[in-house]
Amino acid sequence: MSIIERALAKAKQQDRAAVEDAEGLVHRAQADPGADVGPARGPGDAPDVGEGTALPATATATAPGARDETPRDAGPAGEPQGRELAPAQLPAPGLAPTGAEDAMASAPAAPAAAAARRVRDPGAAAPLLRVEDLRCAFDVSRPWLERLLAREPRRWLRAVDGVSFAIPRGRTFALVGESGCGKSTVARLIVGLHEPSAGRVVFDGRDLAEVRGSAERQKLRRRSQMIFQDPYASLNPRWRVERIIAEPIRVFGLEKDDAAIRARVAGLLGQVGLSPADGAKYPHEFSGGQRQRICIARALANRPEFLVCDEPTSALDVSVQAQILNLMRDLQDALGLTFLFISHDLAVVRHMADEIGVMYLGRIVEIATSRRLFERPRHPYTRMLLATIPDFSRRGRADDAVRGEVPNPITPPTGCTFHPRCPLADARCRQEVPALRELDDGGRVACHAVEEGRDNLEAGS
Amino acid sequence: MNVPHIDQMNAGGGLPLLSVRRLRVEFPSRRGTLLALDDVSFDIARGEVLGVVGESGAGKSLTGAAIIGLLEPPGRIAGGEILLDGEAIHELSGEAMRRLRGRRIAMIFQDPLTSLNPLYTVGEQLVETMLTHLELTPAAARERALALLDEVGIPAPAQRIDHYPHQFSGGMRQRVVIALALCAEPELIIADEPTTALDVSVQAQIIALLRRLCRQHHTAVMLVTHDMGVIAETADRVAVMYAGRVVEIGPVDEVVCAPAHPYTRGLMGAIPVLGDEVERLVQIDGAMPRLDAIPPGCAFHPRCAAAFARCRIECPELQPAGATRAACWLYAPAEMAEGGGR
Repeated sequence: MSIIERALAKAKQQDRAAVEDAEGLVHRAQADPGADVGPARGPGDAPDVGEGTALPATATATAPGARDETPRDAGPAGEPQGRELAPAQLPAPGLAPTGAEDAMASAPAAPAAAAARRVRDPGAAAPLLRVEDLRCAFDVSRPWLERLLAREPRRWLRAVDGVSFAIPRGRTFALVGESGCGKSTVARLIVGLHEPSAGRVVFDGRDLAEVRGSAERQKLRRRSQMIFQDPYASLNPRWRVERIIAEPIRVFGLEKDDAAIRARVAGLLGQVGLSPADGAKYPHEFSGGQRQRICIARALANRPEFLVCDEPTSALDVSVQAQILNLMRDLQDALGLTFLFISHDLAVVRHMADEIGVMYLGRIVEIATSRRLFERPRHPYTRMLLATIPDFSRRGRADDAVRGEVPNPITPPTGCTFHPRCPLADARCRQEVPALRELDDGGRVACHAVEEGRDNLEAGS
Repeated sequence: MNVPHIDQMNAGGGLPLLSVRRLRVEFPSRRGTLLALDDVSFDIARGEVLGVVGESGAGKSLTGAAIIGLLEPPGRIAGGEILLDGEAIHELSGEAMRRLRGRRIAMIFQDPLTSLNPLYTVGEQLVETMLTHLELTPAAARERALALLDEVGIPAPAQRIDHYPHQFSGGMRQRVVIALALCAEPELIIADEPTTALDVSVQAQIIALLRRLCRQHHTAVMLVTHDMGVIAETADRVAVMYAGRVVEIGPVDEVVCAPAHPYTRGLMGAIPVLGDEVERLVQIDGAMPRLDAIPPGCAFHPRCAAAFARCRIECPELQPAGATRAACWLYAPAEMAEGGGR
């Protein structure tokens, strides 16, 4: 008996030590001066009015629903939709979050703003979302008794390991990387589906962890929404579409009576290019692209400012993907939405994003504007990813541009986690974790080789 | 049977290795018979890579399954013929087909985990396949299995040969599947979405490997995929499928750079490319019709911007259109098609 008791006590101690160890790692890393904390912009900085909140009166007309997969009944979409899109329903930018709910004052209609958005300069507006040194570790230890018998310590999977970035209002920030790099975990941390182990998520100047009280929290939550990858799995098959879309409206208590909810659902359906009559159908009656439209309508139902899109088109065919991407950009222009766009497809990201963060094994290895990243990729991993994109004009490229596979994230390589696959790796890369450092062109790269000038851009790109 | 529209471009003078003529595949159902493949014809020459591209539901995987005799009942070949080296294989008995499958035509499936038996080591699976199809001693087969694993780029094959599939990563598993497909030296490999389940960096490696091995072994490949990028990098010729028909077929450079059929053009425009920044992607409105609601005439006409009266009534056959062949009335020889296709 006493042996077992002693073993129990020892195992508990080990557990505690492991937890402390993991936390210690986190704290040490936080203290690391190299850990990047995003652009130093205070939450109170002048919000850019007119930017991002453009609500052209023609939003309905530009809503891509104008043509769609289902032949739409001609009439009914127009009227309710017009009401739905009334500019009054979006909070004006920069308002204190407490006022956002009631901020029904219409933003000045700025037809030029749609064009302004396309000026790809992500420094111009104050960040709507800021993520600072975000970390998330999952316990992947074996069950307690097995661990005890095998005398092994707890094991942690560091899915997100010190990620920092900021998204200006009305812009699109994309995270790209291969499976297991932690990009979806970042998305879930931001919308609150996971608790971060460390780090902060600051939405419109407010640290989400510090928001106390369910009413306050509710208010912040209403302002962001998520679109998931698989439209077959993210819609309740037993609910009619109108109930699915109305759910956020009911949850947040945004409309008083059923008639108002119905009108709003009809408007949302029109906005995403479906017919209001589609509300009475069930999800299985729709194709993949139409289902993703339903998901988008649901995400827009509580009039969010910020949308997290986790691989929204990966499950779709290319021609349908183009429809959805076009729809998302139209909605962004019309409603001034801010996107966090997550994808493994670099060409899609290039099309959608203003700024891109490339992730590898839980860390961001390079952040740059979309144009800079594709014209002058600096990190060897970014260059490798770019080499995988099929180029229709250049066939039969070198076969050896890409090598290796993503290692097991539970036991990542030492130093720079990319070093086993990196053509530029040396002794320092095997020992020392590189920090994200700002380059003269405004991008940031975590690479010793780039820092030391060993990266020989001409040969690499 | 009179076959007017087979393109013989790469047939190399001799008989094509595989010749599919006017293939029809039906699925009888309670609400009538669904026509899943209609009038599909193409050739594959020896050592040639033919890409078959299309969106989900176009019938591209079904074409592969029909060729290798793996149609799921109640699906059946209702017409046309499949000739392998001049021999009709679509009416072979189950046993004769089984001998041919793996030996002369091999298949690579999308998901490497489900196409390997989890209860046997990869070595046992390779050896079993070779002993079934080739006259080899077990020792010689194992020797060959080692050489194959080395050839497909598996590090330390001497140890890995005794590992089980779950001990391999996704990319390595697909390499094993490729070794398995190659082990009886088939003349044709049907690769059905071989890289769809893989990460982009692994996908590039697998595609390069497949291309290199097929060149070396002079194996023909029918590469079925939805990914135009994979096709552009790998295939010699490409067939574009839509709603159970081949709508365009031709050399890959022509189809990719100067597509003739409006559907192919839309498909290419819908793919975001890196070079130039475009505000909007070309979008083909609507979706592929369901099998029970294929429109009359050209199945693409409801989504086609260039459609005219004839498209709604008559179904076009493949006809020469520039350097490729397209099933589109815009290229009908007799009529002067105004609009010119642009």
